Amino acid sequence: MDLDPPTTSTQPSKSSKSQVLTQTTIRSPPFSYAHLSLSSPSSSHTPHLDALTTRSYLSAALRQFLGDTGASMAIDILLVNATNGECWVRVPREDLGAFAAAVTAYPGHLVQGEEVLMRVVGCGDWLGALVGKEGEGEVWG
Amino acid sequence: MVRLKDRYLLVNIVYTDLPPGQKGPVPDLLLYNQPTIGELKPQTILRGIRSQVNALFGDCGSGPVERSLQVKYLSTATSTFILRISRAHYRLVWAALTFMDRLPVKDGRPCIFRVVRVSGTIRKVEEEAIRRAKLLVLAAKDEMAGKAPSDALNTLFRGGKDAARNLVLVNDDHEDAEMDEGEVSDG
Repeated sequence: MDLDPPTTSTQPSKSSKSQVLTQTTIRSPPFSYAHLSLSSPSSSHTPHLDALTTRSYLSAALRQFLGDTGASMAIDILLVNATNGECWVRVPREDLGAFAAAVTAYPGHLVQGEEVLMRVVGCGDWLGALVGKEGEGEVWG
Repeated sequence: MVRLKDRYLLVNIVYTDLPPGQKGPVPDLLLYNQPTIGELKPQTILRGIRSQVNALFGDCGSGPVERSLQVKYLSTATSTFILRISRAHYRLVWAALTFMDRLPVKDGRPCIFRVVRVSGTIRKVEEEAIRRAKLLVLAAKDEMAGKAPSDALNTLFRGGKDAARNLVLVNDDHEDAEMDEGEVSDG
């Protein structure tokens, strides 16, 4: 005797898959972001930093490396952290390579007798990833 | 085999400091293209271009330009010179020439440096220089005879397809063997 009832031919209905409403790929974001840090290798304390001195250091570095085309680069200063001498800037995406090279190549200048340098801590197209990378140094010692 | 590719720029010096409406024995076209008086040597041109590239493009731009920029031919009589520059960086030199507004000598006259031909070989540039000199002589004769329109600037810069044709970049010919290193001739 057949205890099991005959199986029906239709399968039990699965829950419908989640529907994709819209999909977009951002290939070329308009801006790139950089995280810079001002340091003074000779002495231990970080030099004074505000938006105007950041602007003047960056334009000096860009003018030496790239001349008039560098001085005309559109740089937005997003945040200046005066306590630890760090700043966040935004540049057009196509200028990021030249900007990073100019800041790295800048030999620094003397401020009140001590040499002051700008260092690129990180740069990239996505600000979120850049901020998330901030604590990386402490993780890996 | 890796070839070092260059570009040759044919440049005219056009003098602009003429008071307008001047009616004299010399046609206007010749006044705009007059010979260069004074101490214009290849070294002064090189110095002027290098300083302009440094001002416009900084250290990054002036590095490759300083290494590979040469004046191959300079004629003060026709106010024409031919520059050689590496292929990757010829636009830096062209931009610097656009921004120069006077002769690079002390108290230089105001003038325009007009790039009229870019080519991969010097032979094509020489042919173009000869062709333009012939056209200039014919146009000046026309103007003296009163046949051409009296607007010499329009004739000189002849807008439209003629000017665009003159500035077309020629494809690399595979025969730049006859270029002589460092040769500068005068006149």
